[in-house]
Amino acid sequence: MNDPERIARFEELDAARALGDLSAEEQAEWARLVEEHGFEPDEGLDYLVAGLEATLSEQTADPRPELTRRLTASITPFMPLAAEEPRALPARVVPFWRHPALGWMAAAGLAVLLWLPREGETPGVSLAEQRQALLQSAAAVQWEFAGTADFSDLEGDVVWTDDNQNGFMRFRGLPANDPTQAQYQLWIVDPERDERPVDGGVFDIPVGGGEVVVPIRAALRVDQPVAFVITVEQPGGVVVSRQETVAAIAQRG
Amino acid sequence: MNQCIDQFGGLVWNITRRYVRPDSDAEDVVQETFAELWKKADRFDPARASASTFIGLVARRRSIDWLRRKSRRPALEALPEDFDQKVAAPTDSLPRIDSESLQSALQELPSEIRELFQLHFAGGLTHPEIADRTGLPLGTVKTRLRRGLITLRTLMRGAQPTPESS
Repeated sequence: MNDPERIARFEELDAARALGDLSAEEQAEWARLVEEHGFEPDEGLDYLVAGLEATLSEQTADPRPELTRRLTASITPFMPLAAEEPRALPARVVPFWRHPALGWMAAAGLAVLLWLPREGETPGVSLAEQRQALLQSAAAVQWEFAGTADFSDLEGDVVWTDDNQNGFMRFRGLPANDPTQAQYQLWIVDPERDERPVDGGVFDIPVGGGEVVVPIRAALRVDQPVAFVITVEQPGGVVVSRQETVAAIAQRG
Repeated sequence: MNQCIDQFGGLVWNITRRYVRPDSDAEDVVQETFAELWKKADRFDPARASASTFIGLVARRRSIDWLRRKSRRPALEALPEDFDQKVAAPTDSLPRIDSESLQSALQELPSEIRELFQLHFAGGLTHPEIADRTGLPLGTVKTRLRRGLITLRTLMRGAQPTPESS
């Protein structure tokens, strides 16, 4: 794909992002274009979509006086200064979950949880052995991870079975992270399920190098994944990934 | 604030119900939207967009946040949390987005694209529903909406759009 083609492709994907209809594969492609080629989302497209919704929805707006009365009655008690000018907030309000202390506590709590056996994990059996056992399953898929530009030294793979909703990632060369600053988070792309990927959990890579095996803990059932995407997120992970740092992608061949 | 609710309550309700069901949940999201608008009223830049566009942006974002909380699934949606705190866009940005400028630009779109925008934004139809209604393949519906949005952006900037290849 040459540059003009790549630009045109990113524009189309960014328009899809603003419209909210990116498929899972397209989301991964959008993220790769941002990460590897420096494209930036156009906020103007979001404003256009909002403008279209406002303009065209107004043509069919339902006045619903009853709703208006209920809104006024329910909102007004929370706005005691309704007759005055709204108070200005600080220039930037930091969401509570980004408070450094809470981030540390979340990371510490997760560090404890990561060591507890989870469903599908066998106490007393190493993760590497569990992974190997899963790999013997006829239903298991094994895909290689490809590191993005800043993670080009990464080697690894993912093993996953839909039947057991169980899987493991294996990494070598993924940089160690400071859990108080950032954690890796897995996203499982399953377009048959939904265009939004499934949270596969956060994990840490310890200092010291060597091979690391990480169990996958999908928040929801995944039946036909097409990609496993690793991002770098704040401690504790996120519900919405801004895809600012995509570390690696493993895709169905 | 009461005037804001009177004037834009219907708009926020329509946008919210495109994403949020049942109506009881939609009412909660509408409340959240107006509460956010109340707190961030000083962030509104009339040079950037009309009040209805700004309010529509907040309503859409609150609705998508609700979908995310409801499903507990992440969305790789790249609408930044501080979108309303960004500084003015660079020189190739769009002119002020309001109903009049949008309607004018919409009239320059091919009729088949305009029809899709009407079905999606005014009618609230999903892409599969639009495909069923028009007989177009789902992929064509998606492609035309996306390219239509890009063309609309070009029209708003005042440049000539490049020819479309379907």
